[in-house]
Amino acid sequence: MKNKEISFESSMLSLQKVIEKLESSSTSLDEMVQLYEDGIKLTHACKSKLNAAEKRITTLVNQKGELKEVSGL
Amino acid sequence: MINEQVILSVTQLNNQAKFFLENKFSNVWVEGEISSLRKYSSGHIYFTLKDSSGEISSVLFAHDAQKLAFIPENGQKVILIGGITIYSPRGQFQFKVKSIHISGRGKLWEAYEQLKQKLESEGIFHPSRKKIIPRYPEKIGIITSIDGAVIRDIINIITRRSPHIHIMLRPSLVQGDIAVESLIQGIKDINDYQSGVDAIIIGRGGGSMEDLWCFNDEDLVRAIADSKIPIISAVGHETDFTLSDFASDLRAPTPSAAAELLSPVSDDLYQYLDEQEQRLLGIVQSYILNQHQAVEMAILSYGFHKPQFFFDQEKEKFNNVAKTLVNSAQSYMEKLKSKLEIDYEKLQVLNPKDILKRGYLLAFDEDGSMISSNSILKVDDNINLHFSDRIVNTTVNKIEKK
Repeated sequence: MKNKEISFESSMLSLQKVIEKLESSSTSLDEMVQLYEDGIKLTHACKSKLNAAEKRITTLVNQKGELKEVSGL
Repeated sequence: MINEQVILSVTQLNNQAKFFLENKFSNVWVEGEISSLRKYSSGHIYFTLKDSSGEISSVLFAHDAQKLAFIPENGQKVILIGGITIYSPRGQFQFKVKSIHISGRGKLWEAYEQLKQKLESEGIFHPSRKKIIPRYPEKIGIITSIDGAVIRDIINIITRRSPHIHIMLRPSLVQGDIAVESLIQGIKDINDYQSGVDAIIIGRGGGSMEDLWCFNDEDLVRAIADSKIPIISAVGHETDFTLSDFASDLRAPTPSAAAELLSPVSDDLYQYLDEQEQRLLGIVQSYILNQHQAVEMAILSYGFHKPQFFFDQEKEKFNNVAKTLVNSAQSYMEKLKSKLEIDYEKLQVLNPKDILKRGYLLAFDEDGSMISSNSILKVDDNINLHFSDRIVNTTVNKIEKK
C-alpha cells in the first residue's frame, strides 16, 4: 500500500474550515495568526500538488493474479 | 436427366424464389423482438426481428414508416404485418413490413425489469449506499476498452482540464458475455491494488442495447455496488440506462461527461486558491484595522482626551450641592431670627421695670440679690426697696407669719 500524504481533497476541506473559523470572528489574536498560517500552508500545499503535475498515465496489469502498475497505456 | 435439367442464372433463381415466397407469404403476422435497428436518411428502417432461436432481416420502407403511431426501437416486442420477399441483388431473405404493432415488452426487457426489481428490493440501488464522489481526485481508475475512442476521450479531457490528475487504466472487454467477468475483475483489481485511486470510471461508448447488455449482468451490478472506491458509470449514450448505472455511485450520461465530472479545471483551482489567500489576508487585515480603530477611538474619547471635562462636571455638581446647603442654612437662620424677635416681644411684656412703672416695688438684700417669697430674712437685715424712681434703704423690724 502506497503511503499518501494529506490529500488534495482533505487539504481543500481543511482550508474551508480554517476560513469559516476565521470568519466566525470570535478568535483571539494568537488564534487568528495561527489560523492564518495554517490557511496559507494549506493553499501552498494544494498549489504545489497542482504544480507537481506532469502527465501521468499508467496501466494496471493483472499477470496471473499479480497486479502491476506500468507506465503508459 | 441431367441434360434435361434447366439451368438457371442466379438472378432467375432469386426472382423465382421471390415470386414464390411473395405469393405464399403475402400477408403474414409474425411476433418477435426488434434489434439492430438502423434508420436511414431516406426514411427506410432496417432491423432484425428475433426470438430465442431465430432471426429474420426486416425492412420498413419510408412511405410505410411514416404511417406508424410510434417509433420502433431496439428491444421492443412487436407483431409485424407484411410478407416475405427476397432482395434479389444480394439474395437476401427478408420480411417486408407493412405495419408494426407493439405486443408488450421483449423477453430481454422482462428479465431486465425482474432483475431490477429484485436488486431494488435488496436495497442495492438505495441512495444511502452511494459513496461520495470526491470533488478533487488525484488519481482516477478507468475500466474500459483499451481500444476505441472512449479511453482517448477520457484521457484528453482529464489531461487538458486537470494535468495534475493521475490516470490509471485497467483494460477490460466491454461487449458480450465474457465482458462481464473482465469488468468484475477490473473493479476487484483496482480495489485490491490500493494505489490511492480516488474514483473509478467504468463504461463504454454507445452501441445497440445488446452491445450494452453486459452492464445489466447481476454479478457486475453487485460488484459495482460493493466497490470500496466510488464508481461513476458511463455506459453508452445519454438515453441508455443500464442496471450498472443504478448501482453506481453516480451515473454520467457519457464517458466524456464522467471525465469532466472528475476533473476540476486546474486553472480554476489556482484561481480559487489565490482567492482564498486573499481572503485569509483580508480577514487578518480587517481584524488589525478594527483593533487599530478601537485604540484610536479610545484615545479620542472624552475620558482619555479631556479628563478636565469630568473634573469640571464634578466640580459643578459640588458647587450646586454647596449652594443648596448655604441657601438652606440661610433660610434656617432667618427663621430662627424671626422666632427670636417674637420671643423678645413676649419677654418685654414681663420686664420687671415695667412692673415698677405700674407702682409696684422690688426688694434686694445687701448682696444685691432679689428677695422673693422663699428668701430667708432675719430681724435687723438691711434691705433695699427699689421703686421706679428711687431706692429706699430700710431695716427688718419684725417678722410675722401670715
